Amino acid sequence: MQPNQENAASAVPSMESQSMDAFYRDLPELLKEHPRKWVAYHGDELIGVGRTQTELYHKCLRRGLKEDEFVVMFADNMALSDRDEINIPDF
Amino acid sequence: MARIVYELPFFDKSTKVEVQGQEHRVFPLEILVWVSLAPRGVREIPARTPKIPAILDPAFTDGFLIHQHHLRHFAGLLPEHLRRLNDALRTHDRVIQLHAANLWLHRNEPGQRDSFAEVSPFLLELPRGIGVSTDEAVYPRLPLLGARALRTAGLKLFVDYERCRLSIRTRRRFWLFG
Repeated sequence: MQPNQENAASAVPSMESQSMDAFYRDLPELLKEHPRKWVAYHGDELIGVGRTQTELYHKCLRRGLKEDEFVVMFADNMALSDRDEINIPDF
Repeated sequence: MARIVYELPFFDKSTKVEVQGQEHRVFPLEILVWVSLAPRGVREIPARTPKIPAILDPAFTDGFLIHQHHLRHFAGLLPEHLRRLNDALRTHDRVIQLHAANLWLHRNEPGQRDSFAEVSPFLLELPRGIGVSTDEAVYPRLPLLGARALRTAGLKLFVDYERCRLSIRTRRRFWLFG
């Protein structure tokens, strides 16, 4: 593989990254339609909405997805700040 | 509302907690609870899963933070045992890797901090997993249970600073019959 091809391959975001990006992209809508619910994404696809992370996790596995091919996130206002710094009290 | 933690004491003086044969200091007014770590998707944890102490600290604004030393010595896990997420916690001077895991909050025997009710622990599903610190100064000193873990589960905290007691309950649910 040529160096350029290598760079191109490594630049392709993983399915987990794509799924997370889709969640954060859709978050404003999710907060209106499914506030404080768990949601599962596989890439751009919204796989399901549920009351627990565990039920959606198993739903994704039953579809044959591997753990690093989907994300299960919680549609809460707090997620809007996920990419900000957090507060950890100093000891 | 279902009780999870009931009348759990904390103290206006320093105490100690013993984990795996080692004593750790708990500062006055620090609220210590006991949790277990498990992979995502687990519906029930084995009874032998290690219980680890955590400081309940609402000023910590994510879910759970543990130093890799404690992960190993308290929970018997290495960071490699928990799937590394494509995400991190960021503070002004630290980046802390996140790993996929959930917490189980142990129910206390009423009035006791370090004795447990014979009831299944309560699952706290963490949207971002747990932060595993590799800080050279072994920070945090004890694992931290943060506000986001409680917020996500919709839990209610009752802290009585006069009597130094904590209770945690689930949210109220209504059922329609007929």
